[in-house]
Amino acid sequence: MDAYSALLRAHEPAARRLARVLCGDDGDDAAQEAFVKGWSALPGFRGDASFRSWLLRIVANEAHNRRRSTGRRAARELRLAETGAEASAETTALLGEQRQRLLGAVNALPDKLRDAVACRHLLELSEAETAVVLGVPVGTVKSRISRGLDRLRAALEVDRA
Amino acid sequence: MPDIVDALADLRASIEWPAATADVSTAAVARLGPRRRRRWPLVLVAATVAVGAGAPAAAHLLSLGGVRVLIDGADHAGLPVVMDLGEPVAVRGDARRPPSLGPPAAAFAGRPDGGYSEVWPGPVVLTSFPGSLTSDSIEKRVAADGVMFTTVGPDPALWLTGPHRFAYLDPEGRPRTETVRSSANVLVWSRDGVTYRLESDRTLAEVVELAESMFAR
Repeated sequence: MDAYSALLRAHEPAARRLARVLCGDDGDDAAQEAFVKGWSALPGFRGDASFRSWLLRIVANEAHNRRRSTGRRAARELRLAETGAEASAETTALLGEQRQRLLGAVNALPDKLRDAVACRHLLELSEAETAVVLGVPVGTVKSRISRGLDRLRAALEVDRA
Repeated sequence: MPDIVDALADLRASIEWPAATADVSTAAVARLGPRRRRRWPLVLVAATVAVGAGAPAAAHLLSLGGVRVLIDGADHAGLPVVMDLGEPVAVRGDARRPPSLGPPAAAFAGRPDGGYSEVWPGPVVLTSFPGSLTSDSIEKRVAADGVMFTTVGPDPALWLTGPHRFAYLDPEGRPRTETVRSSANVLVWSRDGVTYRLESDRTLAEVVELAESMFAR
Protein backbone atom coordinates (compact mmCIF):
# COMPACT_ATOMS: atom_id res chain seq x y z
CA MET A 1 0.00 0.00 0.00
CA ASP A 2 1.59 3.30 -0.99
CA ALA A 3 1.12 6.65 0.68
CA TYR A 4 -1.86 7.66 -1.46
CA SER A 5 -3.75 4.51 -0.66
CA ALA A 6 -2.88 5.04 3.01
CA LEU A 7 -4.48 8.46 2.84
CA LEU A 8 -7.52 7.09 1.03
CA ARG A 9 -7.93 4.42 3.64
CA ALA A 10 -7.79 6.97 6.43
CA HIS A 11 -10.49 9.13 4.85
CA GLU A 12 -12.61 6.41 3.25
CA PRO A 13 -15.31 6.36 5.95
CA ALA A 14 -15.90 10.11 5.69
CA ALA A 15 -15.81 10.01 1.90
CA ARG A 16 -18.33 7.18 1.66
CA ARG A 17 -20.71 8.83 4.11
CA LEU A 18 -20.54 12.07 2.16
CA ALA A 19 -21.19 10.23 -1.09
CA ARG A 20 -24.09 8.38 0.51
CA VAL A 21 -25.61 11.70 1.58
CA LEU A 22 -25.19 13.30 -1.83
CA CYS A 23 -26.09 10.48 -4.19
CA GLY A 24 -27.51 7.65 -2.10
CA ASP A 25 -26.96 4.08 -3.21
CA ASP A 26 -24.56 5.21 -5.93
CA GLY A 27 -22.33 6.63 -3.21
CA ASP A 28 -19.67 3.95 -3.17
CA ASP A 29 -19.30 4.08 -6.95
CA ALA A 30 -18.98 7.87 -6.74
CA ALA A 31 -16.38 7.62 -3.97
CA GLN A 32 -14.33 5.10 -5.90
CA GLU A 33 -14.41 7.24 -9.05
CA ALA A 34 -13.41 10.26 -6.99
CA PHE A 35 -10.48 8.39 -5.47
CA VAL A 36 -9.23 7.53 -8.96
CA LYS A 37 -9.67 11.12 -10.16
CA GLY A 38 -8.00 12.39 -7.00
CA TRP A 39 -4.82 10.63 -8.03
CA SER A 40 -4.68 12.57 -11.28
CA ALA A 41 -5.51 15.80 -9.46
CA LEU A 42 -2.94 15.28 -6.71
CA PRO A 43 -0.18 17.38 -8.33
CA GLY A 44 -2.59 20.32 -8.10
CA PHE A 45 -3.02 19.96 -4.34
CA ARG A 46 -1.48 23.08 -2.84
CA GLY A 47 -2.37 22.71 0.78
CA ASP A 48 -4.87 25.59 0.74
CA ALA A 49 -7.32 23.24 2.42
CA SER A 50 -6.63 20.10 4.42
CA PHE A 51 -6.10 16.96 2.39
CA ARG A 52 -9.38 15.63 3.80
CA SER A 53 -11.35 18.67 2.63
CA TRP A 54 -9.64 18.54 -0.75
CA LEU A 55 -10.50 14.88 -1.17
CA LEU A 56 -14.07 15.33 0.03
CA ARG A 57 -14.54 18.15 -2.47
CA ILE A 58 -13.64 15.78 -5.28
CA VAL A 59 -16.03 13.20 -3.85
CA ALA A 60 -18.79 15.81 -3.64
CA ASN A 61 -18.23 16.90 -7.25
CA GLU A 62 -18.42 13.33 -8.46
CA ALA A 63 -21.52 12.67 -6.37
CA HIS A 64 -23.22 15.82 -7.65
CA ASN A 65 -22.52 14.79 -11.24
CA ARG A 66 -24.12 11.41 -10.64
CA ARG A 67 -27.04 13.01 -8.89
CA ARG A 68 -27.69 15.26 -11.88
CA SER A 69 -27.48 12.35 -14.31
CA THR A 70 -29.80 10.02 -12.41
CA GLY A 71 -32.18 12.62 -11.03
CA ARG A 72 -34.05 10.09 -8.90
CA ARG A 73 -34.54 11.76 -5.56
CA ALA A 74 -35.87 8.63 -3.86
CA ALA A 75 -32.65 6.78 -4.63
CA ARG A 76 -30.63 9.11 -2.43
CA GLU A 77 -32.87 9.17 0.62
CA LEU A 78 -31.07 8.29 3.81
CA ARG A 79 -32.44 5.33 5.76
CA LEU A 80 -32.38 4.26 9.37
CA ALA A 81 -30.20 1.29 10.28
CA GLU A 82 -31.74 -1.77 11.87
CA THR A 83 -32.13 -1.09 15.58
CA GLY A 84 -30.39 -3.21 18.16
CA ALA A 85 -32.00 -4.79 21.22
CA GLU A 86 -30.46 -2.40 23.71
CA ALA A 87 -33.77 -1.00 24.91
CA SER A 88 -37.30 -2.22 25.44
CA ALA A 89 -39.39 -2.79 22.36
CA GLU A 90 -41.66 0.10 23.35
CA THR A 91 -38.75 2.52 23.82
CA THR A 92 -37.13 1.38 20.60
CA ALA A 93 -40.37 1.88 18.68
CA LEU A 94 -40.85 5.37 20.12
CA LEU A 95 -37.30 6.45 19.39
CA GLY A 96 -37.51 4.90 15.96
CA GLU A 97 -40.66 6.84 15.16
CA GLN A 98 -39.10 10.14 16.23
CA ARG A 99 -35.97 9.48 14.23
CA GLN A 100 -37.95 8.39 11.20
CA ARG A 101 -39.96 11.62 11.27
CA LEU A 102 -36.82 13.70 11.52
CA LEU A 103 -35.04 11.75 8.80
CA GLY A 104 -38.08 12.09 6.58
CA ALA A 105 -37.98 15.85 7.10
CA VAL A 106 -34.25 15.92 6.28
CA ASN A 107 -34.83 13.91 3.11
CA ALA A 108 -37.62 16.28 2.09
CA LEU A 109 -35.47 19.42 2.32
CA PRO A 110 -34.52 21.14 -0.94
CA ASP A 111 -31.17 19.73 -2.10
CA LYS A 112 -29.04 22.76 -1.22
CA LEU A 113 -30.42 22.99 2.32
CA ARG A 114 -30.29 19.23 2.81
CA ASP A 115 -26.65 19.03 1.67
CA ALA A 116 -25.57 21.80 4.03
CA VAL A 117 -27.50 20.48 7.04
CA ALA A 118 -26.30 16.92 6.43
CA CYS A 119 -22.65 17.92 6.01
CA ARG A 120 -22.71 19.98 9.19
CA HIS A 121 -24.94 17.95 11.49
CA LEU A 122 -24.89 14.38 10.16
CA LEU A 123 -21.31 14.20 8.87
CA GLU A 124 -19.98 16.59 11.54
CA LEU A 125 -17.97 18.70 9.10
CA SER A 126 -17.16 22.20 10.29
CA GLU A 127 -18.82 25.13 8.55
CA ALA A 128 -15.51 25.95 6.86
CA GLU A 129 -15.07 22.37 5.71
CA THR A 130 -18.66 22.22 4.51
CA ALA A 131 -17.97 25.34 2.45
CA VAL A 132 -14.92 23.76 0.81
CA VAL A 133 -16.70 20.49 0.16
CA LEU A 134 -19.81 22.09 -1.33
CA GLY A 135 -17.84 24.79 -3.15
CA VAL A 136 -19.72 27.77 -1.70
CA PRO A 137 -18.73 30.60 0.68
CA VAL A 138 -18.94 30.02 4.44
CA GLY A 139 -21.66 32.67 4.68
CA THR A 140 -23.79 30.72 2.22
CA VAL A 141 -23.25 27.57 4.25
CA LYS A 142 -24.38 29.32 7.43
CA SER A 143 -27.45 30.69 5.72
CA ARG A 144 -28.42 27.33 4.22
CA ILE A 145 -27.93 25.54 7.54
CA SER A 146 -30.01 28.13 9.36
CA ARG A 147 -32.84 27.92 6.84
CA GLY A 148 -32.63 24.14 6.79
CA LEU A 149 -32.90 23.87 10.57
CA ASP A 150 -35.84 26.27 10.58
CA ARG A 151 -37.62 24.09 8.03
CA LEU A 152 -36.92 20.96 10.06
CA ARG A 153 -38.34 22.58 13.20
CA ALA A 154 -41.40 23.69 11.28
CA ALA A 155 -41.90 20.28 9.70
CA LEU A 156 -41.75 18.52 13.05
CA GLU A 157 -44.14 21.04 14.59
CA VAL A 158 -46.63 20.37 11.82
CA ASP A 159 -46.23 16.64 12.37
CA ARG A 160 -47.02 17.03 16.04
CA ALA A 161 -49.97 19.36 15.54
CA MET B 1 -38.84 17.16 21.42
CA PRO B 2 -35.18 18.09 22.03
CA ASP B 3 -33.55 20.93 20.16
CA ILE B 4 -33.26 20.16 16.49
CA VAL B 5 -29.44 20.13 16.63
CA ASP B 6 -29.48 17.59 19.46
CA ALA B 7 -32.06 15.55 17.58
CA LEU B 8 -29.83 15.50 14.50
CA ALA B 9 -26.89 14.37 16.66
CA ASP B 10 -29.05 11.52 17.91
CA LEU B 11 -30.18 10.71 14.38
CA ARG B 12 -26.59 10.62 13.14
CA ALA B 13 -25.86 7.37 14.96
CA SER B 14 -29.03 5.70 13.70
CA ILE B 15 -28.54 6.19 9.98
CA GLU B 16 -27.62 3.29 7.74
CA TRP B 17 -24.07 4.35 6.83
CA PRO B 18 -21.70 2.34 4.61
CA ALA B 19 -19.86 -0.42 6.44
CA ALA B 20 -16.44 0.49 7.83
CA THR B 21 -14.25 -1.31 5.31
CA ALA B 22 -11.43 -0.35 2.99
CA ASP B 23 -13.21 -1.79 -0.04
CA VAL B 24 -13.57 1.44 -1.98
CA SER B 25 -9.98 2.64 -1.58
CA THR B 26 -8.70 -0.85 -2.36
CA ALA B 27 -10.77 -0.96 -5.55
CA ALA B 28 -9.68 2.52 -6.56
CA VAL B 29 -5.98 1.76 -6.05
CA ALA B 30 -6.39 -1.47 -8.03
CA ARG B 31 -7.85 0.56 -10.89
CA LEU B 32 -4.86 2.89 -10.83
CA GLY B 33 -2.62 -0.09 -11.54
CA PRO B 34 1.15 -0.46 -11.13
CA ARG B 35 2.04 1.75 -14.08
CA ARG B 36 0.01 4.73 -12.89
CA ARG B 37 0.93 4.24 -9.25
CA ARG B 38 4.58 4.79 -10.08
CA ARG B 39 3.83 8.47 -10.60
CA TRP B 40 3.78 8.81 -6.82
CA PRO B 41 7.38 9.50 -5.96
CA LEU B 42 7.58 6.72 -3.41
CA VAL B 43 9.12 3.75 -5.10
CA LEU B 44 10.67 0.50 -4.15
CA VAL B 45 11.07 -2.16 -1.59
CA ALA B 46 10.86 -5.80 -0.98
CA ALA B 47 10.09 -8.91 0.88
CA THR B 48 11.37 -9.24 4.38
CA VAL B 49 14.46 -11.23 5.24
CA ALA B 50 15.68 -13.01 8.30
CA VAL B 51 18.05 -10.88 10.34
CA GLY B 52 20.67 -11.26 13.01
CA ALA B 53 22.56 -14.53 12.99
CA GLY B 54 21.59 -15.22 9.40
CA ALA B 55 23.12 -12.04 8.01
CA PRO B 56 25.90 -12.55 5.48
CA ALA B 57 29.34 -12.28 7.03
CA ALA B 58 30.48 -9.88 4.33
CA ALA B 59 27.71 -7.42 5.07
CA HIS B 60 28.49 -4.27 6.98
CA LEU B 61 26.34 -3.50 9.98
CA LEU B 62 25.58 -0.03 11.33
CA SER B 63 23.50 0.60 14.43
CA LEU B 64 21.61 3.66 15.51
CA GLY B 65 18.90 3.81 18.12
CA GLY B 66 16.46 1.03 17.41
CA VAL B 67 17.62 0.62 13.82
CA ARG B 68 20.24 -1.64 12.37
CA VAL B 69 21.37 -1.05 8.81
CA LEU B 70 22.84 -3.91 6.88
CA ILE B 71 24.67 -2.95 3.72
CA ASP B 72 24.74 -5.89 1.40
CA GLY B 73 24.86 -4.32 -2.04
CA ALA B 74 21.88 -6.34 -3.21
CA ASP B 75 19.86 -5.12 -6.16
CA HIS B 76 16.39 -4.27 -4.89
CA ALA B 77 15.05 -2.83 -8.13
CA GLY B 78 11.80 -4.22 -9.40
CA LEU B 79 10.58 -5.26 -6.00
CA PRO B 80 6.93 -4.69 -5.18
CA VAL B 81 5.70 -1.54 -3.52
CA VAL B 82 4.49 -2.28 -0.03
CA MET B 83 3.72 0.18 2.69
CA ASP B 84 1.88 -0.61 5.90
CA LEU B 85 1.76 2.11 8.51
CA GLY B 86 -0.70 0.28 10.75
CA GLU B 87 -4.25 1.33 11.48
CA PRO B 88 -5.64 4.84 10.89
CA VAL B 89 -5.91 6.80 14.13
CA ALA B 90 -6.72 10.34 15.17
CA VAL B 91 -3.87 12.83 14.85
CA ARG B 92 -2.15 13.21 18.21
CA GLY B 93 -2.04 16.79 19.30
CA ASP B 94 1.16 16.37 21.29
CA ALA B 95 3.17 14.58 18.59
CA ARG B 96 6.39 16.24 17.43
CA ARG B 97 6.25 17.25 13.78
CA PRO B 98 7.94 19.83 11.53
CA PRO B 99 5.85 23.01 11.96
CA SER B 100 6.29 24.00 8.32
CA LEU B 101 4.39 20.93 7.12
CA GLY B 102 1.20 21.99 8.87
CA PRO B 103 -1.34 19.47 10.12
CA PRO B 104 -0.85 15.96 8.73
CA ALA B 105 -3.38 14.55 6.28
CA ALA B 106 -3.63 11.28 8.16
CA ALA B 107 -2.15 9.40 11.09
CA PHE B 108 -1.53 5.72 11.70
CA ALA B 109 -0.36 3.60 14.62
CA GLY B 110 0.94 0.11 15.14
CA ARG B 111 3.84 -0.24 12.69
CA PRO B 112 6.39 -0.92 13.97
CA ASP B 113 5.24 -2.01 17.41
CA GLY B 114 4.55 1.13 19.42
CA GLY B 115 5.01 3.18 16.26
CA TYR B 116 3.04 6.27 15.25
CA SER B 117 3.13 7.73 11.73
CA GLU B 118 1.87 10.91 10.16
CA VAL B 119 1.50 11.40 6.40
CA TRP B 120 1.44 14.59 4.36
CA PRO B 121 0.70 14.84 0.65
CA GLY B 122 3.98 15.41 -1.10
CA PRO B 123 4.57 12.82 0.21
CA VAL B 124 6.25 12.99 3.58
CA VAL B 125 5.93 10.19 6.12
CA LEU B 126 7.15 10.70 9.68
CA THR B 127 7.26 7.66 11.95
CA SER B 128 8.32 7.58 15.58
CA PHE B 129 8.65 4.59 17.80
CA PRO B 130 10.11 3.91 21.24
CA GLY B 131 13.71 2.95 20.65
CA SER B 132 14.02 1.51 24.11
CA LEU B 133 11.29 -0.98 23.33
CA THR B 134 12.54 -1.95 19.92
CA SER B 135 16.28 -1.71 20.39
CA ASP B 136 18.01 -3.80 17.76
CA SER B 137 14.65 -4.89 16.47
CA ILE B 138 14.63 -3.11 13.13
CA GLU B 139 16.82 -3.71 10.20
CA LYS B 140 17.17 -2.01 6.87
CA ARG B 141 19.04 -3.61 4.03
CA VAL B 142 20.38 -1.06 1.61
CA ALA B 143 22.44 -1.03 -1.53
CA ALA B 144 26.15 -0.34 -0.98
CA ASP B 145 26.13 3.41 -1.59
CA GLY B 146 22.72 4.02 -0.06
CA VAL B 147 23.73 5.13 3.40
CA MET B 148 25.69 8.00 4.92
CA PHE B 149 26.15 9.50 8.37
CA THR B 150 24.84 12.94 9.17
CA THR B 151 23.42 14.74 12.21
CA VAL B 152 20.10 16.12 13.41
CA GLY B 153 21.11 18.84 15.84
CA PRO B 154 23.48 17.11 18.27
CA ASP B 155 22.29 13.62 17.41
CA PRO B 156 23.88 11.26 14.89
CA ALA B 157 21.63 10.30 12.02
CA LEU B 158 21.62 8.02 9.01
CA TRP B 159 20.56 9.09 5.53
CA LEU B 160 19.33 6.19 3.42
CA THR B 161 18.79 6.68 -0.30
CA GLY B 162 17.50 4.40 -2.96
CA PRO B 163 15.70 1.11 -2.61
CA HIS B 164 16.09 -0.71 0.64
CA ARG B 165 14.31 -3.43 2.47
CA PHE B 166 12.73 -2.82 5.81
CA ALA B 167 11.99 -5.52 8.35
CA TYR B 168 11.73 -5.81 12.07
CA LEU B 169 11.51 -8.52 14.65
CA ASP B 170 8.80 -9.15 17.19
CA PRO B 171 9.74 -9.40 20.89
CA GLU B 172 10.47 -13.12 20.41
CA GLY B 173 12.93 -12.35 17.65
CA ARG B 174 10.79 -13.55 14.76
CA PRO B 175 10.77 -11.59 11.47
CA ARG B 176 7.48 -9.71 11.01
CA THR B 177 6.82 -10.25 7.35
CA GLU B 178 3.50 -8.42 7.32
CA THR B 179 5.12 -5.09 8.08
CA VAL B 180 7.48 -4.82 5.17
CA ARG B 181 7.22 -1.32 3.78
CA SER B 182 8.61 0.87 1.07
CA SER B 183 10.98 3.76 1.40
CA ALA B 184 12.23 6.57 -0.75
CA ASN B 185 14.91 8.74 0.88
CA VAL B 186 14.86 8.21 4.60
CA LEU B 187 16.47 10.05 7.51
CA VAL B 188 16.73 8.03 10.72
CA TRP B 189 17.80 9.41 14.08
CA SER B 190 17.13 8.91 17.74
CA ARG B 191 16.51 11.32 20.59
CA ASP B 192 15.37 10.87 24.19
CA GLY B 193 14.63 7.19 23.76
CA VAL B 194 12.54 7.70 20.63
CA THR B 195 13.66 6.75 17.15
CA TYR B 196 12.38 8.88 14.28
CA ARG B 197 12.12 7.97 10.61
CA LEU B 198 11.38 10.73 8.08
CA GLU B 199 10.65 9.57 4.55
CA SER B 200 10.20 11.83 1.55
CA ASP B 201 11.50 12.66 -1.90
CA ARG B 202 13.29 15.77 -0.60
CA THR B 203 17.03 16.42 -0.42
CA LEU B 204 19.18 15.64 2.60
CA ALA B 205 19.52 19.33 3.53
CA GLU B 206 15.77 19.86 3.34
CA VAL B 207 14.99 16.79 5.40
CA VAL B 208 17.58 17.61 8.08
CA GLU B 209 16.06 21.08 8.33
CA LEU B 210 12.60 19.55 8.75
CA ALA B 211 13.92 17.15 11.39
CA GLU B 212 15.68 19.86 13.38
CA SER B 213 12.60 22.07 13.27
CA MET B 214 10.74 19.42 15.26
CA PHE B 215 12.85 20.22 18.30
CA ALA B 216 13.29 23.97 17.90
CA ARG B 217 12.19 26.01 20.89
